[in-house]
Amino acid sequence: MFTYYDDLDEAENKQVKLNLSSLPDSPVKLTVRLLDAAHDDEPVREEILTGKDASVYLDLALFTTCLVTLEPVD
Amino acid sequence: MQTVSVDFSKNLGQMKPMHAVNNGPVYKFAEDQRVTNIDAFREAGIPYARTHDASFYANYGGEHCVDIIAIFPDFSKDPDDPASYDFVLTDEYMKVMDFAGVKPFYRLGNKIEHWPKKYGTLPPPDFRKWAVICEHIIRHYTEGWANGFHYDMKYWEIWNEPDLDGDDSTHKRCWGGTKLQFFNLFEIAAKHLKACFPHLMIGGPAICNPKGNWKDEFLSFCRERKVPLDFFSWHVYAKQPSRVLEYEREVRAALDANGFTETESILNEWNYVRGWTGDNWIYSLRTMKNLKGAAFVASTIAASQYVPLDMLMYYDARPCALNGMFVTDMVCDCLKGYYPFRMFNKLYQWDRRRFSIRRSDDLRRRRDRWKKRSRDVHLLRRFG
Repeated sequence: MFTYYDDLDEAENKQVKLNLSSLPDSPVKLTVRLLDAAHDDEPVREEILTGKDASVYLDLALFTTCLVTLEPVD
Repeated sequence: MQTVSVDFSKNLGQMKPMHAVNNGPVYKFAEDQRVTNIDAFREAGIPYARTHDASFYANYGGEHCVDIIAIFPDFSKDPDDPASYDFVLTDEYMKVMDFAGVKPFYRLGNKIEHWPKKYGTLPPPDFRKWAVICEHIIRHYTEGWANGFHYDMKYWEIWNEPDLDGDDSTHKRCWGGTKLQFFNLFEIAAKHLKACFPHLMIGGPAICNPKGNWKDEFLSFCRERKVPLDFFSWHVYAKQPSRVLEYEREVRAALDANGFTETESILNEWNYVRGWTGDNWIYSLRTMKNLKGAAFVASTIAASQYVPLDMLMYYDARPCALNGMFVTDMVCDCLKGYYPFRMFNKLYQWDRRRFSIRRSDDLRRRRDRWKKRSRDVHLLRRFG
Protein backbone atom coordinates (compact mmCIF):
# COMPACT_ATOMS: atom_id res chain seq x y z
CA MET A 1 0.00 0.00 0.00
CA PHE A 2 1.65 3.20 -1.20
CA THR A 3 0.46 6.73 -0.59
CA TYR A 4 1.79 10.05 -1.75
CA TYR A 5 0.72 12.62 0.84
CA ASP A 6 1.89 16.07 1.75
CA ASP A 7 0.03 18.96 3.37
CA LEU A 8 0.90 21.02 0.32
CA ASP A 9 -1.89 21.22 -2.21
CA GLU A 10 0.44 20.97 -5.19
CA ALA A 11 3.51 18.85 -5.74
CA GLU A 12 5.23 17.05 -8.60
CA ASN A 13 4.48 13.41 -9.34
CA LYS A 14 6.82 10.80 -7.94
CA GLN A 15 8.10 7.59 -9.40
CA VAL A 16 8.75 4.59 -7.18
CA LYS A 17 10.80 1.53 -8.09
CA LEU A 18 9.59 -1.60 -6.36
CA ASN A 19 12.22 -4.35 -6.15
CA LEU A 20 10.79 -7.77 -5.36
CA SER A 21 13.01 -10.67 -4.31
CA SER A 22 12.57 -14.31 -3.28
CA LEU A 23 9.44 -14.64 -5.36
CA PRO A 24 8.00 -18.16 -5.79
CA ASP A 25 9.29 -20.41 -8.55
CA SER A 26 5.92 -20.39 -10.27
CA PRO A 27 4.61 -17.25 -12.01
CA VAL A 28 2.66 -14.69 -9.99
CA LYS A 29 0.14 -12.10 -11.09
CA LEU A 30 0.82 -8.55 -9.98
CA THR A 31 -2.18 -6.24 -9.69
CA VAL A 32 -2.09 -2.51 -9.00
CA ARG A 33 -5.28 -1.03 -7.55
CA LEU A 34 -5.56 2.75 -7.56
CA LEU A 35 -7.33 5.38 -5.49
CA ASP A 36 -7.17 8.81 -7.12
CA ALA A 37 -9.56 11.43 -8.49
CA ALA A 38 -10.78 9.05 -11.20
CA HIS A 39 -10.51 5.63 -9.49
CA ASP A 40 -11.96 4.22 -6.30
CA ASP A 41 -9.74 1.28 -5.37
CA GLU A 42 -9.93 -0.10 -8.91
CA PRO A 43 -7.45 -2.37 -10.69
CA VAL A 44 -5.55 -0.35 -13.29
CA ARG A 45 -2.70 -2.68 -14.15
CA GLU A 46 -1.95 -6.39 -14.21
CA GLU A 47 1.13 -8.28 -15.27
CA ILE A 48 2.65 -11.72 -14.85
CA LEU A 49 6.00 -11.91 -13.09
CA THR A 50 8.36 -14.85 -13.51
CA GLY A 51 11.66 -15.58 -11.85
CA LYS A 52 12.92 -15.02 -8.33
CA ASP A 53 13.39 -11.26 -8.68
CA ALA A 54 11.49 -8.49 -10.42
CA SER A 55 11.21 -4.72 -10.52
CA VAL A 56 8.07 -2.68 -10.99
CA TYR A 57 7.75 1.07 -11.55
CA LEU A 58 4.87 3.06 -10.11
CA ASP A 59 3.97 6.65 -10.96
CA LEU A 60 2.25 8.42 -8.12
CA ALA A 61 0.48 11.77 -8.36
CA LEU A 62 -0.04 13.77 -5.18
CA PHE A 63 -2.74 12.29 -2.93
CA THR A 64 -2.96 8.99 -4.75
CA THR A 65 -2.90 5.64 -3.01
CA CYS A 66 -2.18 2.32 -4.65
CA LEU A 67 -2.34 -1.22 -3.44
CA VAL A 68 0.00 -3.73 -5.06
CA THR A 69 -0.95 -7.37 -4.70
CA LEU A 70 0.70 -10.58 -5.85
CA GLU A 71 -1.17 -13.85 -6.34
CA PRO A 72 -0.27 -17.24 -7.78
CA VAL A 73 -1.28 -17.68 -11.39
CA ASP A 74 -3.98 -20.36 -11.68
CA MET B 1 13.10 8.17 -7.81
CA GLN B 2 12.53 6.28 -4.59
CA THR B 3 13.14 2.56 -4.25
CA VAL B 4 11.34 0.02 -2.12
CA SER B 5 12.72 -3.50 -1.75
CA VAL B 6 10.59 -6.41 -0.62
CA ASP B 7 12.02 -9.79 0.37
CA PHE B 8 9.38 -12.50 0.38
CA SER B 9 11.60 -14.92 2.26
CA LYS B 10 11.17 -12.88 5.45
CA ASN B 11 8.30 -13.29 7.86
CA LEU B 12 7.77 -10.30 10.06
CA GLY B 13 4.51 -11.02 11.82
CA GLN B 14 0.88 -10.07 11.75
CA MET B 15 -0.89 -6.96 10.62
CA LYS B 16 -2.31 -4.73 13.32
CA PRO B 17 -5.92 -3.42 13.28
CA MET B 18 -5.29 0.04 11.91
CA HIS B 19 -8.67 0.30 10.18
CA ALA B 20 -10.94 0.45 13.24
CA VAL B 21 -13.29 3.41 13.53
CA ASN B 22 -15.56 5.32 15.84
CA ASN B 23 -19.15 4.15 15.49
CA GLY B 24 -20.80 1.46 13.48
CA PRO B 25 -22.79 1.12 10.31
CA VAL B 26 -26.11 2.78 9.63
CA TYR B 27 -28.76 0.10 9.27
CA LYS B 28 -32.23 -0.76 10.47
CA PHE B 29 -33.77 -4.18 10.47
CA ALA B 30 -37.11 -2.88 9.20
CA GLU B 31 -36.86 -2.55 5.44
CA ASP B 32 -38.87 0.65 4.98
CA GLN B 33 -36.87 3.83 4.36
CA ARG B 34 -33.62 1.99 4.89
CA VAL B 35 -30.47 3.76 3.72
CA THR B 36 -27.45 1.77 4.78
CA ASN B 37 -23.70 1.42 4.51
CA ILE B 38 -23.55 -2.00 6.13
CA ASP B 39 -22.15 -3.71 3.04
CA ALA B 40 -19.38 -1.13 2.82
CA PHE B 41 -18.51 -1.83 6.46
CA ARG B 42 -18.34 -5.53 5.71
CA GLU B 43 -16.20 -5.06 2.60
CA ALA B 44 -13.77 -2.90 4.56
CA GLY B 45 -13.67 -5.51 7.33
CA ILE B 46 -13.86 -2.85 10.00
CA PRO B 47 -12.65 -4.81 13.04
CA TYR B 48 -13.80 -2.56 15.89
CA ALA B 49 -16.15 0.40 16.24
CA ARG B 50 -15.92 2.65 19.29
CA THR B 51 -19.28 3.80 20.58
CA HIS B 52 -18.29 7.31 21.67
CA ASP B 53 -20.66 10.09 20.50
CA ALA B 54 -23.12 7.53 19.13
CA SER B 55 -25.91 9.31 20.96
CA PHE B 56 -25.56 12.31 18.66
CA TYR B 57 -27.05 10.27 15.85
CA ALA B 58 -30.76 9.49 15.76
CA ASN B 59 -30.47 6.34 13.66
CA TYR B 60 -28.25 4.68 16.27
CA GLY B 61 -30.80 5.50 18.98
CA GLY B 62 -29.96 9.13 19.70
CA GLU B 63 -30.32 10.28 23.29
CA HIS B 64 -31.49 6.82 24.31
CA CYS B 65 -28.39 4.82 23.47
CA VAL B 66 -24.92 3.95 24.76
CA ASP B 67 -24.35 6.72 27.33
CA ILE B 68 -24.70 5.73 30.98
CA ILE B 69 -27.41 8.30 31.63
CA ALA B 70 -29.39 6.81 28.73
CA ILE B 71 -29.13 3.22 29.91
CA PHE B 72 -29.48 4.04 33.62
CA PRO B 73 -31.56 7.22 33.54
CA ASP B 74 -32.43 7.47 37.25
CA PHE B 75 -29.30 7.29 39.38
CA SER B 76 -31.33 6.74 42.54
CA LYS B 77 -32.54 3.34 41.32
CA ASP B 78 -31.21 -0.07 42.36
CA PRO B 79 -28.28 -1.06 40.07
CA ASP B 80 -28.96 -4.75 40.67
CA ASP B 81 -32.51 -4.49 39.37
CA PRO B 82 -32.91 -5.05 35.61
CA ALA B 83 -35.93 -2.73 35.69
CA SER B 84 -33.60 0.19 36.43
CA TYR B 85 -32.04 -0.11 32.97
CA ASP B 86 -33.20 0.88 29.49
CA PHE B 87 -31.18 -1.24 27.09
CA VAL B 88 -33.59 -1.25 24.16
CA LEU B 89 -31.99 1.11 21.65
CA THR B 90 -28.42 0.26 22.65
CA ASP B 91 -29.32 -3.39 22.09
CA GLU B 92 -30.46 -2.47 18.60
CA TYR B 93 -27.20 -0.65 17.88
CA MET B 94 -25.13 -3.60 19.13
CA LYS B 95 -27.23 -5.96 16.99
CA VAL B 96 -26.44 -3.88 13.92
CA MET B 97 -22.72 -4.02 14.68
CA ASP B 98 -22.96 -7.77 15.18
CA PHE B 99 -24.85 -8.10 11.89
CA ALA B 100 -22.05 -6.22 10.16
CA GLY B 101 -19.31 -8.32 11.78
CA VAL B 102 -17.93 -5.32 13.67
CA LYS B 103 -16.90 -5.70 17.31
CA PRO B 104 -18.02 -2.87 19.59
CA PHE B 105 -15.36 -1.01 21.55
CA TYR B 106 -17.63 0.31 24.28
CA ARG B 107 -17.08 3.72 25.85
CA LEU B 108 -18.55 3.86 29.35
CA GLY B 109 -19.42 7.50 29.98
CA ASN B 110 -21.06 10.19 27.93
CA LYS B 111 -20.80 12.07 24.66
CA ILE B 112 -19.13 15.45 24.66
CA GLU B 113 -21.45 18.26 25.79
CA HIS B 114 -20.72 21.53 23.98
CA TRP B 115 -23.82 23.25 25.37
CA PRO B 116 -24.01 25.45 28.50
CA LYS B 117 -25.99 23.00 30.67
CA LYS B 118 -24.31 19.68 31.39
CA TYR B 119 -25.97 16.33 31.95
CA GLY B 120 -23.98 13.15 31.47
CA THR B 121 -20.51 14.70 31.79
CA LEU B 122 -21.07 15.72 35.40
CA PRO B 123 -19.33 13.52 37.96
CA PRO B 124 -21.60 10.65 39.03
CA PRO B 125 -23.05 11.20 42.52
CA ASP B 126 -21.53 7.91 43.75
CA PHE B 127 -18.44 6.53 41.99
CA ARG B 128 -18.83 3.03 43.43
CA LYS B 129 -22.44 2.83 42.30
CA TRP B 130 -21.42 4.09 38.87
CA ALA B 131 -18.89 1.24 38.64
CA VAL B 132 -21.59 -1.28 39.59
CA ILE B 133 -23.87 0.14 36.88
CA CYS B 134 -21.05 -0.32 34.35
CA GLU B 135 -20.56 -3.87 35.61
CA HIS B 136 -24.19 -4.66 34.85
CA ILE B 137 -23.97 -3.14 31.40
CA ILE B 138 -21.01 -5.40 30.67
CA ARG B 139 -22.86 -8.39 32.07
CA HIS B 140 -25.84 -7.55 29.87
CA TYR B 141 -23.78 -7.59 26.69
CA THR B 142 -21.31 -10.35 27.48
CA GLU B 143 -23.07 -12.69 29.94
CA GLY B 144 -26.74 -12.39 29.04
CA TRP B 145 -27.80 -10.54 32.21
CA ALA B 146 -31.25 -8.91 32.02
CA ASN B 147 -32.29 -10.71 28.86
CA GLY B 148 -29.02 -9.74 27.27
CA PHE B 149 -26.38 -11.15 24.94
CA HIS B 150 -23.18 -13.14 24.84
CA TYR B 151 -21.30 -10.88 22.47
CA ASP B 152 -17.54 -10.96 22.07
CA MET B 153 -17.02 -7.43 23.40
CA LYS B 154 -13.47 -7.27 24.64
CA TYR B 155 -12.75 -3.57 25.11
CA TRP B 156 -14.46 -1.43 27.78
CA GLU B 157 -13.26 2.13 28.03
CA ILE B 158 -13.79 4.35 31.07
CA TRP B 159 -14.80 7.87 30.05
CA ASN B 160 -13.67 10.18 27.26
CA GLU B 161 -11.35 13.19 27.21
CA PRO B 162 -11.44 14.08 30.92
CA ASP B 163 -8.44 16.34 30.24
CA LEU B 164 -10.16 18.49 27.61
CA ASP B 165 -10.78 21.41 29.99
CA GLY B 166 -8.78 22.37 33.06
CA ASP B 167 -9.94 22.35 36.66
CA ASP B 168 -10.58 26.10 36.59
CA SER B 169 -12.65 26.03 33.39
CA THR B 170 -16.22 27.27 33.54
CA HIS B 171 -17.13 25.21 30.48
CA LYS B 172 -16.11 21.62 31.06
CA ARG B 173 -17.29 19.68 28.06
CA CYS B 174 -16.31 16.11 28.91
CA TRP B 175 -15.66 15.93 32.67
CA GLY B 176 -17.38 18.32 35.03
CA GLY B 177 -15.20 17.56 38.03
CA THR B 178 -11.56 18.10 38.88
CA LYS B 179 -8.61 16.08 37.67
CA LEU B 180 -8.22 14.37 41.03
CA GLN B 181 -11.91 13.53 41.13
CA PHE B 182 -11.53 11.85 37.78
CA PHE B 183 -8.49 9.89 38.91
CA ASN B 184 -10.59 8.69 41.84
CA LEU B 185 -13.46 7.64 39.56
CA PHE B 186 -11.09 5.83 37.25
CA GLU B 187 -9.42 3.96 40.10
CA ILE B 188 -12.71 2.81 41.59
CA ALA B 189 -14.20 1.80 38.24
CA ALA B 190 -11.11 0.10 36.83
CA LYS B 191 -10.44 -1.92 39.97
CA HIS B 192 -14.06 -2.99 40.25
CA LEU B 193 -14.48 -3.92 36.59
CA LYS B 194 -11.16 -5.73 36.34
CA ALA B 195 -12.04 -7.75 39.47
CA CYS B 196 -15.38 -8.69 37.90
CA PHE B 197 -14.02 -9.34 34.41
CA PRO B 198 -10.36 -10.37 34.51
CA HIS B 199 -10.67 -11.73 30.97
CA LEU B 200 -11.77 -8.39 29.44
CA MET B 201 -9.73 -5.33 28.49
CA ILE B 202 -10.51 -2.50 30.90
CA GLY B 203 -8.86 0.83 30.20
CA GLY B 204 -9.17 4.43 29.11
CA PRO B 205 -9.46 7.34 29.52
CA ALA B 206 -9.24 8.60 25.92
CA ILE B 207 -7.22 11.72 26.66
CA CYS B 208 -7.08 14.48 24.08
CA ASN B 209 -3.70 15.97 24.95
CA PRO B 210 -1.09 13.21 24.87
CA LYS B 211 1.75 15.71 25.26
CA GLY B 212 0.51 17.35 28.44
CA ASN B 213 1.27 16.84 32.12
CA TRP B 214 -2.20 15.40 32.64
CA LYS B 215 -1.14 12.15 30.97
CA ASP B 216 2.02 11.85 33.08
CA GLU B 217 0.15 12.54 36.29
CA PHE B 218 -2.52 10.00 35.36
CA LEU B 219 0.02 7.28 34.59
CA SER B 220 1.94 8.02 37.80
CA PHE B 221 -1.29 7.83 39.75
CA CYS B 222 -2.19 4.47 38.18
CA ARG B 223 1.30 3.13 38.88
CA GLU B 224 1.35 4.26 42.50
CA ARG B 225 -2.22 3.14 43.22
CA LYS B 226 -1.82 -0.12 41.28
CA VAL B 227 -4.77 0.71 39.05
CA PRO B 228 -5.21 -1.90 36.30
CA LEU B 229 -4.74 -0.47 32.83
CA ASP B 230 -5.17 -3.02 30.06
CA PHE B 231 -5.14 -0.28 27.46
CA PHE B 232 -4.41 3.41 27.42
CA SER B 233 -6.48 5.37 24.92
CA TRP B 234 -5.71 8.81 23.55
CA HIS B 235 -6.46 11.18 20.67
CA VAL B 236 -4.63 13.34 18.18
CA TYR B 237 -5.68 15.44 15.19
CA ALA B 238 -2.96 16.65 12.85
CA LYS B 239 -2.13 17.73 9.31
CA GLN B 240 0.92 15.51 8.89
CA PRO B 241 1.03 11.76 9.55
CA SER B 242 4.55 12.26 10.91
CA ARG B 243 3.04 14.25 13.76
CA VAL B 244 0.70 11.38 14.57
CA LEU B 245 3.62 8.95 14.57
CA GLU B 246 5.57 11.21 16.89
CA TYR B 247 2.75 11.03 19.44
CA GLU B 248 2.44 7.28 18.98
CA ARG B 249 6.09 6.86 19.98
CA GLU B 250 5.83 9.29 22.89
CA VAL B 251 2.79 7.61 24.40
CA ARG B 252 4.42 4.20 24.18
CA ALA B 253 7.54 5.57 25.87
CA ALA B 254 5.46 7.12 28.66
CA LEU B 255 3.62 3.86 29.26
CA ASP B 256 6.87 1.91 29.39
CA ALA B 257 8.48 4.46 31.70
CA ASN B 258 5.66 3.96 34.16
CA GLY B 259 5.92 0.19 34.03
CA PHE B 260 2.90 -0.34 31.80
CA THR B 261 4.87 -2.36 29.29
CA GLU B 262 1.98 -4.74 28.58
CA THR B 263 -0.64 -2.00 28.35
CA GLU B 264 -1.94 -1.54 24.83
CA SER B 265 -1.63 1.93 23.32
CA ILE B 266 -4.79 2.72 21.37
CA LEU B 267 -5.18 5.91 19.37
CA ASN B 268 -8.95 6.02 19.21
CA GLU B 269 -9.69 9.42 17.73
CA TRP B 270 -7.70 10.82 14.84
CA ASN B 271 -8.28 12.67 11.60
CA TYR B 272 -6.92 15.51 9.49
CA VAL B 273 -7.07 18.89 11.25
CA ARG B 274 -5.05 21.90 10.14
CA GLY B 275 -6.66 24.13 12.79
CA TRP B 276 -9.73 24.25 15.00
CA THR B 277 -10.92 27.79 14.22
CA GLY B 278 -11.86 30.02 11.29
CA ASP B 279 -10.72 29.16 7.78
CA ASN B 280 -8.40 26.43 8.98
CA TRP B 281 -11.33 24.55 10.53
CA ILE B 282 -13.42 24.87 7.38
CA TYR B 283 -10.44 23.75 5.30
CA SER B 284 -10.01 20.77 7.63
CA LEU B 285 -13.63 19.67 7.31
CA ARG B 286 -13.47 19.94 3.52
CA THR B 287 -10.20 18.03 3.42
CA MET B 288 -11.59 15.18 5.51
CA LYS B 289 -14.13 14.57 2.75
CA ASN B 290 -11.86 14.79 -0.30
CA LEU B 291 -8.95 12.94 -1.93
CA LYS B 292 -6.35 14.72 0.17
CA GLY B 293 -8.12 13.54 3.30
CA ALA B 294 -8.14 10.01 1.90
CA ALA B 295 -4.39 10.19 1.32
CA PHE B 296 -3.92 11.40 4.90
CA VAL B 297 -5.91 8.41 6.12
CA ALA B 298 -4.01 5.94 3.95
CA SER B 299 -0.68 7.40 4.92
CA THR B 300 -1.42 7.36 8.65
CA ILE B 301 -2.74 3.81 8.55
CA ALA B 302 0.26 2.61 6.59
CA ALA B 303 2.93 4.39 8.60
CA SER B 304 1.41 3.40 11.95
CA GLN B 305 2.26 -0.20 11.19
CA TYR B 306 5.88 0.66 11.91
CA VAL B 307 5.50 2.24 15.32
CA PRO B 308 4.55 0.75 18.67
CA LEU B 309 0.83 1.31 18.48
CA ASP B 310 -1.77 -1.43 18.97
CA MET B 311 -4.86 0.00 17.30
CA LEU B 312 -6.01 3.02 15.29
CA MET B 313 -9.65 4.11 15.43
CA TYR B 314 -10.64 6.79 12.95
CA TYR B 315 -13.04 9.55 14.04
CA ASP B 316 -15.71 9.25 12.81
CA ALA B 317 -17.76 6.75 10.79
CA ARG B 318 -20.94 8.24 12.27
CA PRO B 319 -22.69 10.52 9.79
CA CYS B 320 -21.30 13.90 10.78
CA ALA B 321 -18.96 16.68 9.66
CA LEU B 322 -15.84 14.67 10.54
CA ASN B 323 -16.88 11.60 8.56
CA GLY B 324 -14.70 11.31 5.45
CA MET B 325 -15.93 7.79 4.65
CA PHE B 326 -19.60 8.23 3.74
CA VAL B 327 -21.89 10.93 2.42
CA THR B 328 -23.72 12.20 5.51
CA ASP B 329 -27.24 12.26 4.09
CA MET B 330 -26.79 9.28 1.79
CA VAL B 331 -24.60 6.90 3.74
CA CYS B 332 -24.92 4.33 0.97
CA ASP B 333 -22.55 6.54 -1.06
CA CYS B 334 -18.87 6.23 -0.21
CA LEU B 335 -16.45 9.15 -0.14
CA LYS B 336 -12.78 8.88 -1.15
CA GLY B 337 -11.82 8.42 2.49
CA TYR B 338 -13.63 5.10 2.67
CA TYR B 339 -11.35 3.33 0.22
CA PRO B 340 -8.09 3.31 2.24
CA PHE B 341 -9.95 1.26 4.85
CA ARG B 342 -11.05 -1.25 2.22
CA MET B 343 -7.58 -1.37 0.64
CA PHE B 344 -5.89 -1.86 3.99
CA ASN B 345 -8.33 -4.64 4.82
CA LYS B 346 -6.99 -6.67 1.89
CA LEU B 347 -3.60 -6.61 3.58
CA TYR B 348 -5.12 -7.25 6.99
CA GLN B 349 -6.96 -10.30 5.73
CA TRP B 350 -3.79 -11.61 4.11
CA ASP B 351 -1.73 -11.38 7.23
CA ARG B 352 -0.62 -14.95 6.90
CA ARG B 353 1.29 -13.89 3.82
CA ARG B 354 4.18 -12.19 5.45
CA PHE B 355 6.58 -9.76 3.92
CA SER B 356 9.77 -8.00 4.70
CA ILE B 357 10.60 -4.54 3.50
CA ARG B 358 13.96 -2.92 3.02
CA ARG B 359 14.15 0.71 2.12
CA SER B 360 15.76 3.76 3.61
CA ASP B 361 17.91 3.82 6.75
CA ASP B 362 15.13 5.69 8.48
CA LEU B 363 12.71 2.91 7.77
CA ARG B 364 15.17 0.26 8.89
CA ARG B 365 15.71 2.08 12.18
CA ARG B 366 11.99 2.35 12.66
CA ARG B 367 11.56 -1.32 11.92
CA ASP B 368 14.36 -2.31 14.27
CA ARG B 369 12.87 -0.33 17.12
CA TRP B 370 9.59 -2.00 16.45
CA LYS B 371 11.12 -5.46 16.36
CA LYS B 372 12.82 -4.82 19.67
CA ARG B 373 9.39 -4.35 21.13
CA SER B 374 8.41 -7.77 19.74
CA ARG B 375 5.86 -6.10 17.55
CA ASP B 376 5.25 -6.55 13.83
CA VAL B 377 6.34 -4.98 10.58
CA HIS B 378 4.46 -5.09 7.33
CA LEU B 379 4.61 -4.17 3.72
CA LEU B 380 3.29 -0.67 3.81
CA ARG B 381 4.91 2.59 2.94
CA ARG B 382 3.97 6.17 2.38
CA PHE B 383 5.83 8.80 0.44
CA GLY B 384 6.03 12.50 0.87
